[in-house]
This record gives sequence, structure tokens and C-alpha cells, in this order.
Amino acid sequence: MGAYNRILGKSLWVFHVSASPCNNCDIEILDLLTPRYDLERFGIKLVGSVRHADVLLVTGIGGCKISERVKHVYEQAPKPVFVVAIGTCPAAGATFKNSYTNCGPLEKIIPVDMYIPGCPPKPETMIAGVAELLGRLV
Amino acid sequence: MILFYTLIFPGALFALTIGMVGWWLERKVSALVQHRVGPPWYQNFADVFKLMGKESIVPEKSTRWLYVVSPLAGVTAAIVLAVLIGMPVFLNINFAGDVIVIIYTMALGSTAIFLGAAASSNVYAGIGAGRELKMLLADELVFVMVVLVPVIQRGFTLNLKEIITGTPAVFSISGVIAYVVGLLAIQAKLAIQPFDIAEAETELAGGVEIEYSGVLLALWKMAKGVHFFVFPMLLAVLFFGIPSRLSLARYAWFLLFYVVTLAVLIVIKNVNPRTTIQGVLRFFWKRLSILAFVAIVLAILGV
Repeated sequence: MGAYNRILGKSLWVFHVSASPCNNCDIEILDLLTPRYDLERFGIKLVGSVRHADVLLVTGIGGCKISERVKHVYEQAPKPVFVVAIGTCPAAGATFKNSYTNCGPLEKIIPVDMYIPGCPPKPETMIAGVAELLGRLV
Repeated sequence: MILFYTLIFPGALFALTIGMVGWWLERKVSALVQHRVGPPWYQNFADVFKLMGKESIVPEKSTRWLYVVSPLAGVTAAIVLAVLIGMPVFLNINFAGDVIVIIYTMALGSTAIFLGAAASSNVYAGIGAGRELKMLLADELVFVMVVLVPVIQRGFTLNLKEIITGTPAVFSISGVIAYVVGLLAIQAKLAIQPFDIAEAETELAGGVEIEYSGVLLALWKMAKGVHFFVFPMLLAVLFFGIPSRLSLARYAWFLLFYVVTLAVLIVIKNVNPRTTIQGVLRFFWKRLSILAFVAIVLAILGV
């Protein structure tokens, strides 16, 4: 699998899953694709369909209603697929920790490969996180 | 020998390599236009290789056999096209068919995309399939008229080898008009902006390819890669011709005008946003078909 993973790391297609976020992390994710940060130079591409995804970027606390859908989306993704939790919310709930709609943390819903904490994490942090994911693959 | 032609030289391997590099050129130049760095040259190869190793999901409610066969048909049609055009261009070998065979094989590729999308029973894919068919209706007429111009200039021969050797068609007024119209028709055939309405990443989330994953998606990507080789090449050889003797100059001449055609397509892609489906039909039927008709009339008059 070593050689395959090395090539997989050169073309990670990411799919963006919103599990009841406050939209802050989502905006930061979109920043990654702007000319300033340009993730396409690493072969990372934002795709519109979960069937094309290699990495699921999950933002938000994982609300009770959405957690079913998140699980469904994870099951629809072709394996191998990696789950990256963006922001503090999927890890710990942040401000919404005590909310009655909180069914997180994300670990309870789907297996998570990596956490990138921050509220929201800076694009530099996210690039560092993705680079570490690439490092683990090789 | 026929196996070698199909699988190695003008066929699968060669067409795929050149096409993928052409596709990379499209992505790289687009990135440079947007002040980005852009992907490395092997990006499309890495993408296809990666997709080969992933799980291929066939949706439960889809028409299973059609869903699996369509990408195979799509990539086969593309490779057949590469062989049919490549043999006269690179090896000076005539084949029994003519330009009409090429036009029909082109339509076969679009039909495969339409069937595959329709078989996946996804709503977005359904919309994408409808759009793909409308695109076919829009650009097919114009493209046939464009191909007719060099045919008429060579004295009504449909043989590709006779059409592409001799004085290039673009040295006449009708040739110039037809080449410009042809560029836009090719843009629509390649389904890149402004005519990527069937895929529409941001709007239909991939449209026709939305349900495809793994090997089947890799086949679609390979078909698209071969298209990046075949369509600009056809336009380049039809209008700029090639030297009649097999020599290094012939390949250099071909490569030069292939890159020129591709470069114009990339520039058009980068300065235009995606159009609407009505916009495409209106543009092709009301504007371009008239221009193409004028070109045909001028070609008959010998201008």
C-alpha cells in the first residue's frame, strides 16, 4: 500500500461536510482555495460530490438532527476515506458544548483521523494539518 | 499491428499521455491567470491512478449494467477517435472510413455520458444528462458545418488524409471563419467553461459524474483526458494541415498548432463565466450556425 498511498497523498480530493457549524470554519476552508493559499499546487481539490471524496472536512458540533446525515454521508464515501475535523466544535463543542442540540463530539458519530483545533483555525493551521495527514500517508 | 495502433501509438497510451498533459496545461495556465501556482505536471496521472485504487460504488437504484458499461463505452469511443485521426496524421495510413465516421464517433462519446448519467438515477445527474443532450444538439450542427469547409475546399473529398495534406484551409477567408467557429464548437465538445453546463461543479455538484466513484470515475477522467488530445488535434489538422511527407518537421508542425489551438481554448475558458443552457442554444443556432453557413458558401465560391 506504500506506493499507492504516496500517490493518494498527491491527489487528495476534499469534500466539505457541515455538521451544524456557525459557518466560520466553512469560510476559512474556502480561503484555502483562494489564490493566496492555493491548495491545488498539492493536488488538493474541493469536489462537489461525496462519491469523489478522499477526505471529509467536517465542521460544527454535530447537531442531533444532522448527525444521522453525517453518518449517512460517511457511509456513501468510497473507501479509503479520511475524516478531518475542522475547528474546536467537532472535538469539544466549544461555545455550544452545553446546547440541547449537541450530539457530538464527532467521534461518537464517525471515526475521525485528525483534529485541527481553532475557532476558527487559520488557513495556515489547516495547511499544516493537511500536510501532516499527507506525512502519515507516506 | 492493429493492436499496436490501438493500444500504444496513436491509440490508448499515446493519446492518454498527451491528453493528460494537455489537460494539465489547461489547469496550470488557468492557475497562472488567477495568480496561483497550479498543480504539478503529473497531477492528472496521479488523480487517475488514485481513483483506480478506490472503492467503486454502484448505486442500488441505478440501472446497473448501463451504469457500468457507459464509462467503458465513453473511453472506448475516445480511443477509437484517437486511432482514427491519429493514423493518417502520424503514420500516413489511410483507413477505410472517412470524416463522417469521425463525426459519428464523437457523438457516441456524448451519448455515453448521457446514458451513464441517466442510468445513475440521481436527480442532479438527470439534469446533467438533459443538459449534455442539449449541448450535443447545439454544437453538433455547427461542428459538422465547420468540418464541411475543408472538405469543400479539397474538392468534396471526405478522406481525412487527402483533406489534411496540401494547402492549409486556414489560408482562405472561409477557412479563417470556420476555424474561429470551430474553436467554440470544440470548447463545447470538451465541456470546459463557458460550456461546462453539464458538469457545473458549483451548481450541479459534478452533474453527470455525481454518482461515479473509483474505477468508473477514473474511466470518465481518462475519456476526458483523451478528448483533450483528440478534439484540438482534429481542429488543428483540419485547418492548419500537415506536411505531406513523414518527417520530424511534420510532428513539430502538428505539435505547434495543437498547442496553439489548445492555448486559444484555455484563454476563452479563463475569460468567460459559465453560460445558461438557453444561452448556449441561442449562441450556437442563431449566431455560429449563420457564420458557419457563410463560411460554407464562401468555400463553395472558392474564397
